[in-house]
Amino acid sequence: MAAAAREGMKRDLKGLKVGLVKELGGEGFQPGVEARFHEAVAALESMGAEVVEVSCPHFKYALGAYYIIMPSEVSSNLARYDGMRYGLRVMPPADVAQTAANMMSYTREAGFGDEVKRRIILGTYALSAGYYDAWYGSAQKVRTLIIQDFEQAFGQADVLVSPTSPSTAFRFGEKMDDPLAMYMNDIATIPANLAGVPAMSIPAGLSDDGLPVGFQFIAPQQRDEVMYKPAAALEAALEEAWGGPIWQSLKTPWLDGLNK
Amino acid sequence: MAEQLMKYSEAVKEFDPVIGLETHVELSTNTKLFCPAPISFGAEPNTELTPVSLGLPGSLPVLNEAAVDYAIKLGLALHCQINEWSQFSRKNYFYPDMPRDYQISQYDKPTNGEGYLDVELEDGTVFRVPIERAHIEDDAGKNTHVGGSDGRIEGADHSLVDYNRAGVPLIEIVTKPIEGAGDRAPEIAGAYMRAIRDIVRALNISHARMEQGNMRADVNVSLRRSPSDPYGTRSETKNVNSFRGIERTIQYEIRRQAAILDKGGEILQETRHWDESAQATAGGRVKSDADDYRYFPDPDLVMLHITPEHVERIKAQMPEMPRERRNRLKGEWQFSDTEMRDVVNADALDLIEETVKLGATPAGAKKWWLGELSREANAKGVGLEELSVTPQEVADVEQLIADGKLNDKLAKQTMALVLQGEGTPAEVVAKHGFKVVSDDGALQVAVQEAMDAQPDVVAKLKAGNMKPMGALIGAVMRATKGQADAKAVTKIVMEKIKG
Repeated sequence: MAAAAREGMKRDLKGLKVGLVKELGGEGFQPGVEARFHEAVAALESMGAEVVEVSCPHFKYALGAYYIIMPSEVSSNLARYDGMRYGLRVMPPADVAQTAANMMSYTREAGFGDEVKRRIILGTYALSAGYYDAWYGSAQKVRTLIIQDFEQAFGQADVLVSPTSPSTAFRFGEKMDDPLAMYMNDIATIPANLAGVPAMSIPAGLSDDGLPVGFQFIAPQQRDEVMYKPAAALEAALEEAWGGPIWQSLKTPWLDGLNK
Repeated sequence: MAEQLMKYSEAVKEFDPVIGLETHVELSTNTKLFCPAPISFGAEPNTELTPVSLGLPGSLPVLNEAAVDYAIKLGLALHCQINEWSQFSRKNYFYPDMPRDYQISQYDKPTNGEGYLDVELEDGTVFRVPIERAHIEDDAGKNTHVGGSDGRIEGADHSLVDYNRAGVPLIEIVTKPIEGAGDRAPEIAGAYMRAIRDIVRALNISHARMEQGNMRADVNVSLRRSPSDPYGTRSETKNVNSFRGIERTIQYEIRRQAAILDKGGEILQETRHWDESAQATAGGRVKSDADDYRYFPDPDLVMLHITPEHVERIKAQMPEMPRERRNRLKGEWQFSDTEMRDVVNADALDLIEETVKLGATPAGAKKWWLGELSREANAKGVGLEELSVTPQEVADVEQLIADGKLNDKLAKQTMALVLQGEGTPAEVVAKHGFKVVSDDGALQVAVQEAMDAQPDVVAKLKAGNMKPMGALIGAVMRATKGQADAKAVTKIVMEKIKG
């Protein structure tokens, strides 16, 4: 991997086929994000890469599938935080039976935050008898389709690219009441996670709002080195254009004093 | 609360019982199913642990290959379909003895699918028990409730949890509904459980000691009026851990359910437990649709791939199964059904086989192990294999008899001294100067003296009445201090009478 990255520093990408994922752009993507992304793609081309467009038709179902599978696993993975063996333990008030089951309830009520509870409830529901096939089972089928989309795409390109996220960062807590909008921000990164393929994100400059934009590379399963070369090449080219790492250009008073 | 029971003979006349058994067999692997924690019986609580056994955050399971091979062996012994692809799923429920609050088990893709086991009943009848599946799962820890009257959670003031058992590999063998058992349902269940025990011991995959909880069964019983009716509502009696308990649970449930149904009542779908002291099942938790374990494939584990080649390799290493072995030995030894059953019931099969291998005749070996030695073991309250006599020593005594160096009486004396720890049969014989008087001259004299002393006996023998022969043999035995050979004595007497 280190060797692949060092190779990238030479900024010679001749022979590399870069696939632009059609479904990860356009509507719903911030203009500033799209602009930085396409500039970066042009930089890849100028270093000799051949750019092709690939289609992953099932990516539109990825977010839905992910937000079934992930909460389902979360509901089970977090079950162990029950106050029995480690961590927080909250005993029930005196007028409530002092049983293990009640202790677990009070502990979990006190220890988990709202978003975690939301996911546990969602996952518990999705795994319930009678709902499993409709929710978890269907989501796993979508996962298989997404894996197949990747296989198809990697038949046409060595490495896939997209913006890392459709918009720049939103304010802390801003979308708590609109979880769907919040979850939408994961749209570009979720397919790789569902399929189990490696992906990485590097800075692609600042959007119109002054916040950083990410540029994502995706490689075939267990072929991480394939993306290290173009990513290192792009990082080197962009940093040269910026005159240094992008965080130096951030207008962020809160970063002052953080060893800027 | 005493429950209404119908007489058993009446209950099985009125109703057709259907039973089902879920048998948990604890595997005797060195380490746990998903981590390298050691497994031993009776270790200090909470000493045989790893982060995985405790469900610590970030710990990940790694499947124990030996446990899978053990499962395949059992699957083959139960004529199961060994599935090329099987999968571990999570069974989610909150309980203090469950460190992750989910059990890793197999759900819709078990390693062993359908099979069957032929079990032999007391009278030699063979009954085929259909097997639904035999899947792999990990065990929970063990709760101890302190302060209550009977160790149950009700009335306890606190509970302790020992996680040593958490993660120990289990195989759960699930039968299909066992139909057609009729009044023999309890006997069939008992015979099935004993057959499973014998098989797992022959395979050397479990200690299979019920009293230590290595083997336990959930017993399902339902009744219906006629075999053509659909199944009735079942009760499930959990964790019965003795053969007798299983038989009696079924008997009791048949009687209890029959009494309820007879009055037009309904059976509650519930889990019960067997109360050994009351010799009754007691109601427990009512099962309802609320029990939802939210099974789903464990995302921490990939699917288990067992190639047909691997199954073939294991098949080639399979030892002979207990029932086949019994039948083979019965033929080789020319024992009757009854004789063979006595041998099996006395737990003497291995010992006799070993003794025969070392040169004794089957009848001779059986005579010792089921006679003198069984009596000795019973008197001491120990198992035959715990006696201080080996198959080699029994074979040696038999050899001494065959060589004419000991007669029956001396042989018994020799064996008694071997049991007392005086040494090997050869050492005992040498030490005590035991020898059969086969020196013809000395014996001739002793026989003549005995005949001279009992002329009336000699007269009867001459008249063709052989009954008093024993009197002469007895006299010769006394004269030779038991060292004479009874056969030789008889022969000399006959020669003298005819002469």
